[in-house]
Parts: sequence; structure tokens; C-alpha cells
Amino acid sequence: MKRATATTLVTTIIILGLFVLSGIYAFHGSPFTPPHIVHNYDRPEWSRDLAVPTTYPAYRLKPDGTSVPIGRLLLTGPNQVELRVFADIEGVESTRGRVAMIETNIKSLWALVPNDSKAEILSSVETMVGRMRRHFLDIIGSQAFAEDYRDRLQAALTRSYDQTWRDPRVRVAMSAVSESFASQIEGGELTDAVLPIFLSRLQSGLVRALGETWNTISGGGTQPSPTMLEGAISETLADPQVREVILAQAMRVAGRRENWGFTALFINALVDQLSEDKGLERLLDELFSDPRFADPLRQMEEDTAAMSTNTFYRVVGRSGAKQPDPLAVRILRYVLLNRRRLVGLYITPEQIAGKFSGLARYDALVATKD
Amino acid sequence: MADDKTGSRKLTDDEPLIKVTGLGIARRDGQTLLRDTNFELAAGEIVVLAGPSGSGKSTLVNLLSGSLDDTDEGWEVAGTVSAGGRSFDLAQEHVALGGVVFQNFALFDELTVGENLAIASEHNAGLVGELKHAIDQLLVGVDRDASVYSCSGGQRQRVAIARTLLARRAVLFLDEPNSGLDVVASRRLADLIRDLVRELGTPVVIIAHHFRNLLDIADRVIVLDPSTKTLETLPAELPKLEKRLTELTGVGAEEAPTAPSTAGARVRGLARVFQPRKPAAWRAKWMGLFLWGYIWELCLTPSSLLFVGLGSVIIGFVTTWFVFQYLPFRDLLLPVIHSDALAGLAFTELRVMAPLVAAVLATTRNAALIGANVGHKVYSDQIKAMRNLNVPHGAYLTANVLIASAVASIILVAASVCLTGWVAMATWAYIFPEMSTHLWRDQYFQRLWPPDVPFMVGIDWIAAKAIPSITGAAMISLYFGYRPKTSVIDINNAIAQSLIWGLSFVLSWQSILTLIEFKYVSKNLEVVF
Repeated sequence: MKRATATTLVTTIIILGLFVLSGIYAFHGSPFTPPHIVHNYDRPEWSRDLAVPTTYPAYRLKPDGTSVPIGRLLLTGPNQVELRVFADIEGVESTRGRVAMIETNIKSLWALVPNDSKAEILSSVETMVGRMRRHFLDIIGSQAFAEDYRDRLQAALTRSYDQTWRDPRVRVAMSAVSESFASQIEGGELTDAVLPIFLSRLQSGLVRALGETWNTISGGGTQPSPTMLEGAISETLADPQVREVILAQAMRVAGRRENWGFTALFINALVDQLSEDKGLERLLDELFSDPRFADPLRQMEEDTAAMSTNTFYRVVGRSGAKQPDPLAVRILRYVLLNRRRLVGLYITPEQIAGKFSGLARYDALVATKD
Repeated sequence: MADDKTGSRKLTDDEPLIKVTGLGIARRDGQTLLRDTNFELAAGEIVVLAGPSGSGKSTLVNLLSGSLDDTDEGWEVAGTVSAGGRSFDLAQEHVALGGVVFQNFALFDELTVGENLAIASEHNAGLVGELKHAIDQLLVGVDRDASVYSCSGGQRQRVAIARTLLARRAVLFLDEPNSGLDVVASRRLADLIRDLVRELGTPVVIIAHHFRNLLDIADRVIVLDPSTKTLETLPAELPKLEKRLTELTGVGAEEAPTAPSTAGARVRGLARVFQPRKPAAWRAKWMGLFLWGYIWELCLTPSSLLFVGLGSVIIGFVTTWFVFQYLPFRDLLLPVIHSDALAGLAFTELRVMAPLVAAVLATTRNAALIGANVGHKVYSDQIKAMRNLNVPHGAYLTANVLIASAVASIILVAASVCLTGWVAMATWAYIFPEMSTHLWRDQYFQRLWPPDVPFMVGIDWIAAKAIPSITGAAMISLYFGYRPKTSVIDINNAIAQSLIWGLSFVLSWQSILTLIEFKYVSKNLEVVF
């Protein structure tokens, strides 16, 4: 057990002081300046169900769309939101820009994509769809397809379609929908709107038909023209008043959950039939491995892959899609993990008017009044 | 015979001061040293205790001085000792009859000369006037503020005698007091003993192999006969002693004395303390002194702090540098994982690596120090001296080492966490000079120390890993340090064993706790991430 001397004691105090100082700088930052600048906002109504206290990262955007962390957003109470901006971040001022609280989902991921990138994505999708259509037509328009696959494919599809209709679940559902469908259609309204117009069209058609009949008779014809009834129907349907009534009825039908439920059930049943159809499976295997279609199929695959990659990098990447953006990656991660999270975003009116028009949909937080 | 204020009493010259009857000492393995032996000591008497090596002289002295630790050495004792009008059963009670001046003096090396005296005085009956005079005479020319290391051999011997006198035991035992002394120094020592006995009247028993000058002052000689296992009294005459020892061992004794014996001079008696050995009570002053000493040694010395600091710098730098510089697909992944990498680094560096490295480094250093310190105290009879002087080594050494280790674990781990964090930040700032250290702090502590949380998350885990591991390693070092030592090699072995088992304990404890911590943390990650 050694005794401390004045020299060793002073040395120890200095070393301990350095340890403490290093801890202060590491854990808190400079003791001479505040670690952040605080902005207070009212908490929006839609976020009231989020637990407090909770913190989320806050960002701003560089001109190229790259996000830069600027601080942290804190839900400090039922009515308060606090934005703590790092002390060395300049230019974040409530008077110059707006602070939005954004939920991390596909919509916000898309909204953060700069407009020019969005245009490029849409352009590439359009190009790809065009190319796909061309390749598809090349296949089904080929003689090989017509000779070896068309009839078999049609037969398989028809078979599956028929079997789907014979499915007891579909029949029961169809019956129920039919009954409710009748009750959903306002027959009187439809009749009131359609019948006078139809009759008027039919009448003029009949006059024309009679004249034609007369001529026919004179010329030896006995049957009215088959276009008379078709013409009346077409003209009736083209009438704006009829169209409006039919549309209203259609919307009413479409608005009923059971009608959509039936559609979903039917599609599911059809897909089940198709996937269980071993003959169809063999046929498609044969089709996709047919060397005569290798070129268009490979091109379709390459086009799809290129478009997907390009879209992904345009959504997640910035600086010409060269680098993943931290904010986009964070949002994507929460989307993939299916977690509800928020981020804070400081954005200026110039950015909204320029490259980030999609962000206009997010309301600015309102600064708390003192 | 008259009682004094302390309950002890003054004796007449004719009455034996101490009477031992039916004394038997045997090892638990059956080896007997003494069997049904009787002897007496009178006030002011000087007795030379002689006998072949290994015959049990030191054991007898340890027994009568209360220094024999039957838990360590496994002794069985029988007999009765009568002293001061009281009788003690040696089989049942440890009786501190005598103060021992050990062969190597056993001065407490962390204390000054004055503190060596004070600790003996304050844990015993205190300093009375006549004793003070004797001690002042004894220590003429000795600087009481000096460390015991700075004293010469003769001075240290005088300090040791003075310290033992301050314990105010009924008998003064001197173990090989003239070992290593030249003829002049040996004569000077004999004169000193004679003068002390004259002044204080305390009987002195001298264990010696070299009795040339000591027989000059002795009243008689007691020889321990290993064949009969008894004590035999002889006159203080060299030829007779030499002859008897030759019979017992076949080894010749020393030359005849050159000075006339002065034995027999009787002086006034001093009140003496006869007491069974009781658990020594600790004093706050000495507790504080030892505690501060161990905290300083085990924690606060510059070398200790720099040692742990160096480890912290290495952790903070290496982990941060390699994670960010040698990341596979760095350009692609860095923006993706930067925030999570920092949060993960914070956990690794501050909750796992800093406590681990601090504990390993502190234990490496402290296990060696404790093993050496306590081992040396055992080897140099300082522990026995503490027992003999009624100084509670359990409190001053054992408890204080453990308390100091706990304090060291808190201070050193806290220091390591602070420095590791700062080095990690500095390394990161070097790698990413365009980024703000506020950003580092935000992302580094995003899960370990969220805003408005009063303490770092997991500080309880750090404490649970650091404090028991470092304190446990100190306990292991104490165990090896306290084991009996017969040579310096034993001390070296104690150091090595302390290191091996102490570090093994630290690594095991921290590994197990870290695994449990990982399980706990990963269970909560779903909530946090």
C-alpha cells in the first residue's frame, strides 16, 4: 500500500478531470453551449393516439433530395411536439420553412422522391409496359403459338371457368348476390328514365323501318332491318340522362360489400382452379421453355428486372440514384417491418414548389403560441 | 499484590508472573511438540528459550502470544495458564499473554514509524508515563515520521520492540533478535534488553540460536526437548547449554560468554494486562487510513487510471474504426446502416466492452497487488503481528481491500465508459469530418440514452457485471494472499494464482452476465427498434 505524494495526487486529479471532461463531451457535448435549439409545436389531432414520451428523428432535404439528420422530434405530451435541432445546424427557422410530422409508409416514401426521379420512374414504366406488350404480342401472334398453344390454352381456361361456376360456394354466393342485386336496382327509376327515351328512339326507328319495309316490299323484302333495334338501344344508351341513371345504379351496386365479396370469391375460386389444373401447368411450362419463344421471354424478363431495379433505386436512392438515402431507407425498413413510426421533416416552400411537390400534402406543424 | 485502575495488578518479586501447567501442543496430524509440561516466568526475568530447529519454539511463543491461528495450522492445545490472578484454559481460549518481536520485525510497511507505534498503542491499553519514557529512550535517533523502509535494521528492531511494548503484554517474546547482527550490534541489543527489563520489569523470553551475548543477560535457559516433549530448565551458562543441545541435536553451540551476567537485577513492576484474546475492535481513524490507502493503490494511482484509460482508448478506436472503415459494401451500406451501426456500437462499447476491459485490466493489476501485499504481510509475519497487537486485520486489510475494490470497480468502469465514448466520437468525427458530433450523439445514444431519460439504459447491467467481478477477483486474491507463506516463491505463486483465478472469474462472470443481458436485450429489441 503506497502513499500518495503531492505529485501523484495532482497527476491523479488531472487524469480524473480528463476522464470527466471526456465523459461530458461524449455524453452531452460542449458544456459551454446548449446541445440543441428547441422549437415547440402543437401536436396534430391524428397523432394523439401515439404514446408519449416518444422520439423520432428529424431531417431536412438537400437540393438533390438527400436527407440530412437535423435533430429529433419529441412527443412530449398530449398536446405538444418538440423539435430539437442540433446546435450546429443552421438555417432551420420556422419563418422560412415548415416542419411536418410524417408517418412512415409507402405514400411518404413516394412523396419524398424528387419530381424528376418520379418522372423518370414513370417514363421507364411506360417504356417497359410498351416493350412487354410488344413481346407478348410477338408470342401470341406467332404461328407456333397459334398452332401449338392457343386452342389448348383456351380449352384450359374455359375448363377452369366452367368449373369455377360449378363450384358450390360460387353458386351459393351468386344466388345471394342475384337476389340482393334485384333489390339494389331501383327499377322504377331506371324504367322512368330509360323507357321514354327508348320508346322514342324505337318509334323513330320504326318509322324508318316501315319506310324501308315498304321499299322492301316494293322490292320484294319482308323483314324489318336488324339494325333498327340495335340502333334504338345504342342511341338510348348514348343518351346522357340514361347514362347518368345507369352510372348511379352501378355505383350503388358497386358500393355494396357483398357484391365485391362475390367478385373476390369468384376470382379466388378461378385462381384455385387454374392453379390446380395440372394440364394448364404443364402447358405453361411447355410454353415458357419453348425455344421458339426464348428471345421474347428473355427480353421480357430483362426488361422487368431493369425496370424494378431502376424504380427501386430512384425511390430509395438520391444523387442520381447512386447512394441510398438514410430517410428513405428508414421509411422502407418500417414499411417492411409493418411498424407505425414518424419522422420529422423540415422543408422550405421553394422545395415544395420545385422538386418535392408530393410533400405539399403534409400539413405543417403549428408553432405553439406563448 | 495490589489492583490498579485497569483491573490488573502489581506483583511482588517472589510471585511468578505467569504459571503454565499441563501444557500440551500437538498438530492435528498427530505430531506432538509438547506434552504435559509446566513452566513459570517471574517479573523482570530474562529467559532464553533454546532447542533444536523445528522443535516448536516459535509455536510455543505464538500460542502464548495469541498469534497461533488454529484455523490455518491445525493445532490442538491443552493446559492451563495462570496470570494476574486469573486462570485460562488454553484448550478453550486464546490467551494473549505475550507481545512478540518477530525475527523480521513485522513492521507494518504502509505506516510510518510513528503510526506503527500509534496503531499498537491505540488498539491496546494506551501509553502510560513510564512506558513512554522507556520507548523514548529506545527510539533515540529514530525519525517517527519516516517510513519503516528508510530505517536501518537496528532502528527497525528498536521500533518493533517499542511497538510490542506498547501492547503492554505480560511477557515480551523476542524471536531470534540477534539474527544477522554482528558482535557489536548483538552486544548493544543485549544491553538494550537488559535496560528495558530493568526499567519496566517485564519478563523477556528470547528465542535464539545464537545466544553468545544473550546468555550474559539471561537468568536461565529453557530448553525444548523434542525427545521427551518437555521443557527443561538450565542455568544461563554456555557450556551446559552447549552440551545439552549437542545431546539433543549433535550440533555444537557458540563460544562462552565474554561478559559477566547481569541477570537477576530486579526493578519496579509495571501494570500488565492479562486478557484472553478477544475479537479486535476497529477504530475509525485506522479504518479510514487503510481504506484510503487501498483505494489509492487499487484505483486512483496515475498508473491505475492510465492503465484502464489505455484500454478504453483501444476499444473506442478499434471498434469504431473497423466498423466504419472495413464494412463490406461500405459505399452502399453505410447510409443504410449508419444510424443502427452507431446505436449498436454504443451498446457494444459502453455496455459490454468498456466494463469488460476495465474489469480485466483492473483485476490484472489489482490481483497482483493484493496477492503481493497480503502475501508479503503473511510471509513477513505482519498478519501475526496484527493479531498479537490486537489490530483487526480482518477490517483493516480484508474488508478495506474489498471495499476499495468495489469503489475501484465503480470509478474505473465509469472512467472507462467516459473515455471509450469520447474516443469513439473522436474516431467517428475523424472518419466523417463533414458530419456533426451532435448527430453522432443523437444516433449513438438513440437507444442507450434516449432524450429525457435520467440515466443511461443498462447502467444496472454494467454495475452487475463490474462490481461483483472486480470485487470477487479481489476476494480470490485475498484468499491466495492469506495462505501460509514459507518463502518468496510462495508469494510469487500467490500472485500467479490470484491472476489466473481472478481473471478467470472476471471473464466467466462477465460472459455469463453478458449472455443473459443479450437475451434480455434481444427480447426488448422488438419494442425498441
